[in-house]
Amino acid sequence: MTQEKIKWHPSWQQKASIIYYYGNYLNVPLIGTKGCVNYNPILAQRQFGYPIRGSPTTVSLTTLLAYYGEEDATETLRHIRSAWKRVIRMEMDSRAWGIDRDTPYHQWVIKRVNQVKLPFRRIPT
Amino acid sequence: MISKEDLKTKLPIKARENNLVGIRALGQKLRAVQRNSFKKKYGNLLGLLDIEVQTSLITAFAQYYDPLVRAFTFQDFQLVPTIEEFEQILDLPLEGKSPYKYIDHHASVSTLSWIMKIHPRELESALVNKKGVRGFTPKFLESYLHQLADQENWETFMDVLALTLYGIMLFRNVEDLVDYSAIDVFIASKNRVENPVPAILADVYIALQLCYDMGKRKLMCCLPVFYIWLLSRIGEKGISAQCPIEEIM
Repeated sequence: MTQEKIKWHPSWQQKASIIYYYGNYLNVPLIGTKGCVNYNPILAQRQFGYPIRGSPTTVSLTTLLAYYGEEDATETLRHIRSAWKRVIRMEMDSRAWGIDRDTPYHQWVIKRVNQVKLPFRRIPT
Repeated sequence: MISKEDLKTKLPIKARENNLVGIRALGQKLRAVQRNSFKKKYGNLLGLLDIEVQTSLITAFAQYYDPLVRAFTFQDFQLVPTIEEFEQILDLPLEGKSPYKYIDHHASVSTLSWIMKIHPRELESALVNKKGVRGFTPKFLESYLHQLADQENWETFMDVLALTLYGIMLFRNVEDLVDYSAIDVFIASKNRVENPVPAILADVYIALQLCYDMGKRKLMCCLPVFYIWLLSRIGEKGISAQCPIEEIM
């Protein structure tokens, strides 16, 4: 599958002002039924019709994963609950460290693919 | 000469869908007016119930998951399931509501009995243990739904239907069990008006993480939501659909 096959702008999509990060978190941690996990809206910009401004910095992709019952899960949970009170949407984002403008996103993805590899043969482009 | 491409080791993940025939028939007992009021309370659950999920597509897609960056990484792009898309798929806007908070993850039998209109003692005896997880069997809930439909007790019918769908379609952990995590998100949404969308998204990510980090093999959680999300990006139909579900209907 290549990027040409993707519907980047489905007709149903409201160009929402997407949630970008909140509280002191670097991305968006979510509270689930088994644990908490972050996701990275910074990688979803294209899905919402925003121009890709560069590649994500390592720090903007900081991971969070806490399964309930593990030692620090209660503390993490408490922190996330209170952080939800301060949601920052994309156009309010003024962080300089989120995006590395010197490395094009495309280049970053290709490097990522070389690291993690693909499960199926690539399609020649 | 083209050298053999170095591929990622595939994981033995398999998406497994429930048998939804019985519950679909129950959903059809609601008249248009009731379907609307159900939708107002619980979003698009009935629309999702009618979706025939092609599990093979999810199984193949899951191989592209990139657990460290929480994205599906393809040869020249990435896709990320987001809150905003899931809000639209479920038709449950987050605006002005707080997300599910995992506050009281063992709702009391009396709270449950009040919502379901079942005597606490009867409820207690209906709760079963499966693989160390407590909950109701779909069979019990379905037969109770038939009873409520016969009595034309539609208010309670809708609540029990929503609870059942939370358990067998969304927060699905053990096969054939509407377990306590589903019950808890349901009660949080019913009694505390907490929005379940971020929890659904979290559970999709966590289900994938469990496959990659802990060697779990079955993907069962929120399959219709995930499937609609997928089709909304890679499907060929539906150029002018107004909502993601409409695209494939």
